[in-house]
Amino acid sequence: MYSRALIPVVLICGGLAVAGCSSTDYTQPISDFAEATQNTEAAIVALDKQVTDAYAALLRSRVLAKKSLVQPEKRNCQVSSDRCRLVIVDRDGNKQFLSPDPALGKTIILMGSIRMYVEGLKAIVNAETAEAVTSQVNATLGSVEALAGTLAKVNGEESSKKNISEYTTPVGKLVSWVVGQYVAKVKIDGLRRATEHAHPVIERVAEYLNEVAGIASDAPKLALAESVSKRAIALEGGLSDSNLDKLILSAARYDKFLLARPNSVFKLFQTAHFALVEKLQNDDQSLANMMAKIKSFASEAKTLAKILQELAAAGGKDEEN
Amino acid sequence: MPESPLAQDILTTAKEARKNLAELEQDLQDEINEINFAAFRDNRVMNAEERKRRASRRSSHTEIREAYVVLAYVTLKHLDELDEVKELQAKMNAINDGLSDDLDRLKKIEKYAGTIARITDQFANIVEKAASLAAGMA
Repeated sequence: MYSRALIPVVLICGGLAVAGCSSTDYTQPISDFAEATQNTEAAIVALDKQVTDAYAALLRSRVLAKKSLVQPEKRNCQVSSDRCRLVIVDRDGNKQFLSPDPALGKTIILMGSIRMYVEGLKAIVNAETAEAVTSQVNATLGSVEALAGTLAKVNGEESSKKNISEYTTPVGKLVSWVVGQYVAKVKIDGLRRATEHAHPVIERVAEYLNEVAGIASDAPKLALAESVSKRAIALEGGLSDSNLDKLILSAARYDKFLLARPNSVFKLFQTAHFALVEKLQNDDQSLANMMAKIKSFASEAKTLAKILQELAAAGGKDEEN
Repeated sequence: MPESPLAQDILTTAKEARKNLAELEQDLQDEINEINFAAFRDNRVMNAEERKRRASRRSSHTEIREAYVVLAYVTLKHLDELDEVKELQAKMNAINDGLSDDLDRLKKIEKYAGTIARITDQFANIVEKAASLAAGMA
């Protein structure tokens, strides 16, 4: 009688072609990938701020050096105005806003959608559906086990309780297994589909950001190069241990930034994503290889984000120590 | 990306300008180094003409470096405004919508499993009633 209940479960098991798909294999790599993407986004945001701030500082310096005139934009800053924005005008009459817009406003939104994509992958791989389902099913199966008492009373046999207990546990395990496998399949299919569709877009975005980061990194480079020059001049003016140390430190800071190669992070991002796509599409691909590429990307992204954070904290000013 | 002729044009122009700036920057630094070295080699204090020349080269050096920032800002602003950026954004939005659908699907499985659980529960009730009936008959 009880064995009939197993039939649908067994049939469902047979219908699932789930060999080789373990979504848990991807939990850590995708989590690392998500963290690295977050750091990459932070790096782009920091680079944008540095370029925009450096440009704004330059415009200010032109006003102070009397190379540009500052005045309100036409129809601005009057009682009847809707806006009050200042512009600078050079001697040829060319004008622009004194406070420039962020250089990479739309690019940052694009990078945000890349981060959302990777977070979406992480949400899929971390979805606790299987666990929630298992506990739900097991809780209900507990009521089947409770029947044992009733049956035992009916038959006056303790053996009935034992029989039901023997049945409920395998059914619970089977249902959990089937649901677990099905959930894993849905997860893997979702990851496959999303990464496959995203890859051509990711490739283009990575190439674009590679160019953008290369150009944007000229702003922190300017600040760091100027710092080295100022320290060199200070040493010429006064040979001392302290001035020599300051020169050495400012050169080391600049060298560290140059070695971090801001744009290389986007190449690594592209490579890591490709490794993830390859592994998801072909289970024979090495998991270790995919993880190594993601770790390499994660490491570079973390280093770059940290350097840019330090530079932002220094506010583009020369470090005194 | 950047694939469009406009994007390529922006990048080519910017790279060419940057290359010219780099050459000028290096030439000026070389000249400053030479002035410094000449005085050091001869073990003498720099004369007024050398000091004046060095100050002038340093001023130009700073201006060249500032030009990098102008070039960077203007280039990035142009790239940021490209239609390709908007197009990529739209594609990413579509992919993210797909991911959102997959997450919804996982939630539906949870509901489906709840149905399995309810069926199991009903099955248990039927067995219990049958057992009670059997007990009554006994």
